[in-house]
Amino acid sequence: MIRSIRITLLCALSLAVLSPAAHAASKKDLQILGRALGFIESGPIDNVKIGLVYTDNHPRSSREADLILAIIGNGIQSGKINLQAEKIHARDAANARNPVLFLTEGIEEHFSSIFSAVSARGIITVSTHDTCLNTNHCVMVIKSEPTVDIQLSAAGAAATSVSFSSAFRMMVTER
Amino acid sequence: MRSFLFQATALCALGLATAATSAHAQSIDYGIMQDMFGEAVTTSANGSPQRSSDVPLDMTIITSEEIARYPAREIPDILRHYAGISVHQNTSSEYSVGIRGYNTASNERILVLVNGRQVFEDYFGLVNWSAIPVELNEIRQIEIVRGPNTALFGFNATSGVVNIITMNPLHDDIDVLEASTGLNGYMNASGVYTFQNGDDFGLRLSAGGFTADEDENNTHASVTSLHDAAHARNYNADLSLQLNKNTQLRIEASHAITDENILDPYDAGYGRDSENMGIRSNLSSDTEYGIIEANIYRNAIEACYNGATNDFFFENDVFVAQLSDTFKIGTSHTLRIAGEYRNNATNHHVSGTFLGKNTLNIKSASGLWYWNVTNKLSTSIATRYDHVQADYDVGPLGLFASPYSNDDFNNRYDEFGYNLGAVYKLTDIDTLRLTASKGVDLPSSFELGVLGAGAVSYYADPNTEASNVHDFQLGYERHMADINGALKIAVFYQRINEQQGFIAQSSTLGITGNIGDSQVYGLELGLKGLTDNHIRWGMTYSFSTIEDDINAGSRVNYKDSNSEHIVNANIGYAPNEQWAFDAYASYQSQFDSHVDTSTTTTEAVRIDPDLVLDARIAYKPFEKMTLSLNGQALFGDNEQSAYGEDVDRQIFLRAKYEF
Repeated sequence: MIRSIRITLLCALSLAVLSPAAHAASKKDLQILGRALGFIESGPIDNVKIGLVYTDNHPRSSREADLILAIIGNGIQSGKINLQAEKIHARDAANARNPVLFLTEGIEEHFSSIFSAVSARGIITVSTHDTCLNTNHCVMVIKSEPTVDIQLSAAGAAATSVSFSSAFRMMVTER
Repeated sequence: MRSFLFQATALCALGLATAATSAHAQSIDYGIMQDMFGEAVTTSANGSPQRSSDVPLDMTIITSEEIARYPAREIPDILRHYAGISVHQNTSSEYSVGIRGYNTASNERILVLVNGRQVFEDYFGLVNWSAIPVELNEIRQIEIVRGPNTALFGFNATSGVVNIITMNPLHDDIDVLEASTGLNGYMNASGVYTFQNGDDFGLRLSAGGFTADEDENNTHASVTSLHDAAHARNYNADLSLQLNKNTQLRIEASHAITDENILDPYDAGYGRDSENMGIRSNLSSDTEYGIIEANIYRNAIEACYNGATNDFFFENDVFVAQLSDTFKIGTSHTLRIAGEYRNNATNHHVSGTFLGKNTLNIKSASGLWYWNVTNKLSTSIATRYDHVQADYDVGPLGLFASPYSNDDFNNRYDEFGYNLGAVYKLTDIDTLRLTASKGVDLPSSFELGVLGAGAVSYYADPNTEASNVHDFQLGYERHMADINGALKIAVFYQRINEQQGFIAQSSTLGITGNIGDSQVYGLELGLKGLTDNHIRWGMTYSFSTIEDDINAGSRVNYKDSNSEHIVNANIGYAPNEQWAFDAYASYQSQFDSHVDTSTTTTEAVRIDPDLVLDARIAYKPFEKMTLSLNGQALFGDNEQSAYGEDVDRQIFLRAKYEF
């Protein structure tokens, strides 16, 4: 009896861990991302294909990339930017040519190598996960629930040579 | 007015010249910001854009979508449905609007701005709502700021501020034709047209006007100079240029002509004819030194008050030049430094006689420090210092009964105001807001010279001090996802030192000066939501009670003139794109209004509790056309001031075509 309870609890815990991530990107997140990209000085315009960086080693990572890919479909128009997307494996991210890379959950071990490889080329790293910003490996983290929260990494932006308009910087949280 | 046109042209040229030598500036696209953050955005609190939930002020923002659903003829018809706002409709088109008590006739304690340009009229210290040169369809948002905010907005923002932000023609393409017709001779026509050329040029032209019968049953029916009907015509042009990626120039010019019956600040009824012209030039540049903004505007007003014993005529000319720099230091600190010069001149005439000229020269310096202390806590400190030189040039007829010399009226005021605010986010959905502020209320031009002569004389006490208003507020807001809405609670305490007013000396002599102190405290509650069935609802309750320490002989009693309880409720249903139903109820408890029984005395008249119901049914026969049936005061005619013009039940049809 006790064993079955333990197994049940273990299953429940596993399901909780493997269930969709609490901060998996939503359509609203992506619309906000499109708007926010519009405030970058000399930033990407028109059709912007973001690279969804994932790894096979973490089920949430691949799942999140697939989810975003499905949401974006043929494109999401957000302001003057039309967001498009493609999946990029973490091992290939260093050579990515996308103007924006979205770092999914579960690829933390690759953050450093990806960021150091792409930031010098002005590629903007974004995510919906705080870890990315806490380690200064993302320029921007966006969340739309329960209220819209946009956070910028000053160090990440500086390393990427990205600057946002003064008005935008005054409206968001900079770290 | 010819010199006004000349100077207006010069102002435009100056704006263009300034722009030509500027390096950079980016305009704020309110629409994009609002869309991105899911809530209204304002630049009013510290010069930089902020989400309404982050603002260290007690502010309510009424969006264009909300404005469109009101059965409103004028802006006060909308304001009356918000917490802490008291609206008395004195005649068919003239309103007194108060924030947190003290809603006296032609209330001088709120500052009304259009895109930062004051439409408050200094000569008498009032707002001519009919002369605000803005059509409802071109308003981006109306910001209501409660409490004294002179450190942020300037003089007279002592009870609060109503800041009207219009669409920016560079970003917002608004093309609307609208016409209304209804009971009591009400007719209205309005047009807004926007021309855009690429991303760099936007021009919006608008014009509107109305006519509405005045109610014949009023206390001053014997005054033959009163109007049988109110009329207003407004014209406005708004040019916006993106000079380069970071620099924007905006020039606005407006003209308004109104004639209507009004209740003046001293409770006397007049037929008023007014002509208002305004021009504003604003240059904003996003530079490496921050957002640098230059703002220059000029207002020219000619207003004639035709009354029972005297006809007053004012020529008021206001010139304002402002320069500010808003910049961020590090990741957490936003600072603003600003300077302002203001020249305010008023010529006073009574019954065709020139009495004198007031001139106020004001030099101001202000600073603001906004600190994002942590992710949860932010603070704001704003201060402003004003140096005021008041001069009076007496007319050829001398000072009449005044015991003072002309030199006595040449005074200096050195005033200091501040606004302190702290916003603490208890959780992602709970916010606490604490504010403390000191505001300054200068005497109006009318209260700084000789005011009248003849059978009855009035003059000002030249030693009149500016009123100081101290205010403390604690607010709590909770975002409530389960009702798709929010809860808002605020408690406040406010003390006014050296209130200004009118004191009768005899049946033929009155003076204006300081009349004593007063204090008010109260609370405001608000709850709103949106159901899955597209039912939008909201309710507010406001309580305020006043304690006076007013000198004998004054004509005012703020305590008894205050509606202590104000309740608002609204419900709206929009089942599909074609239909929308909205109803707004507003209740005000009893209060005393005043009517002048002679030229120097008034009598209090009790106004009974009043429940007003406004409603609107709208139907879109096709995408660009909206037909609506609108009703105001549907429970029947009622009285909202002692002036005696009943507020008649109003029903009108409105057709709106967007192209």
